[in-house]
Amino acid sequence: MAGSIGIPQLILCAIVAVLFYRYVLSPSQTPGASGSASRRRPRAAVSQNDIESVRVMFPQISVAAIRWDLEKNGSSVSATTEKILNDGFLPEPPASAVRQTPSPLPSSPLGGTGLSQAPVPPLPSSVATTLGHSDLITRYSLHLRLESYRPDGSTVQLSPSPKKNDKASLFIRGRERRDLMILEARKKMEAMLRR
Amino acid sequence: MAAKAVRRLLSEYRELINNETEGIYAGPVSEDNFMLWECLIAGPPDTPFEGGMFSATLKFPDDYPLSPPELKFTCEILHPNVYPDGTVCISILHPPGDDPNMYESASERWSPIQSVEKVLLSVMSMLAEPNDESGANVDASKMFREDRAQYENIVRRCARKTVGL
Repeated sequence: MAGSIGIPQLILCAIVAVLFYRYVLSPSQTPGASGSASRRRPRAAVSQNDIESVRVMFPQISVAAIRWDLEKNGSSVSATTEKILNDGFLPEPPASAVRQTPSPLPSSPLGGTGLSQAPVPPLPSSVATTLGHSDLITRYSLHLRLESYRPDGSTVQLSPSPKKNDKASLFIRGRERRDLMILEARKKMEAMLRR
Repeated sequence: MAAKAVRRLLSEYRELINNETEGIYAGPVSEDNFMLWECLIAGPPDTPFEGGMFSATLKFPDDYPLSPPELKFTCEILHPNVYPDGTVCISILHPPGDDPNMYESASERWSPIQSVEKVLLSVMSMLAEPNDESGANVDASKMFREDRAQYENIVRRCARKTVGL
């Protein structure tokens, strides 16, 4: 029977041995082959630019959380953006990850609205919600503007210069309109609750 | 194909910013991605949504405006036509070809002559008048029918929360 081991069998054995070595004994050498490999991967360098571009949109999210999420998804700004929009927040990195990124900016804990927050019972599960949706004042960091905002528009001059239609100007005007709508809604709601 | 979508979205954006429509805002989340927008819809007056500013995202397909965008609330909201994950179910967001609910007429559904503005205005009227036939959120439908007081109570609380109160 021993005579039946020919060259094809030897080649097959060699292939099996190589595959066994490659995928079972040294998984860390196969880039992206499995989740465990990517987790063990040294932290991908996340450029300050990427962090900034997320942070500009969501100033309330801490730098540490943004950096951590970008590291996990391979520096995809759009993936991180989408995640924040869907969940309303980013999970803070575990302590071990924070230690390697010194001086993370704290997420702004501005809450000085002067209104007492009575404890409210939790909403029923039928309410469409992903836990952690932040209100719009927090999401767009409007706490400071809220104090100076007057609904009559006395503090705000809406685009006095001729309206420009290039992309950058559109964005500036759009963002301004968004913020003003939120501030106005907030003031209206405050008035409604006082009644 | 996507270039066509971006062109169309840029012109819709310009239109929205230059001719403001009361109670709605919509615009791209970031300057380098025109396929994902954020929007705001004011709670209609004389409804429990009044005073709230409800936020949502609009995700556009590459073949927009042939296919409709997907609209998903990013705030807490209770409504018979909003799935528990925030996705909105109204006829204008359904392509004319498929009618999952078998009651919509083709004219109500998505077509390239619709627009972001029309979608948001439809959502605003949906907030005011829930469609009981389409039960995207069965619990909310039931509460809307059987316990209106509690429904309105919860909706009012959601509305306050949107502006941080």
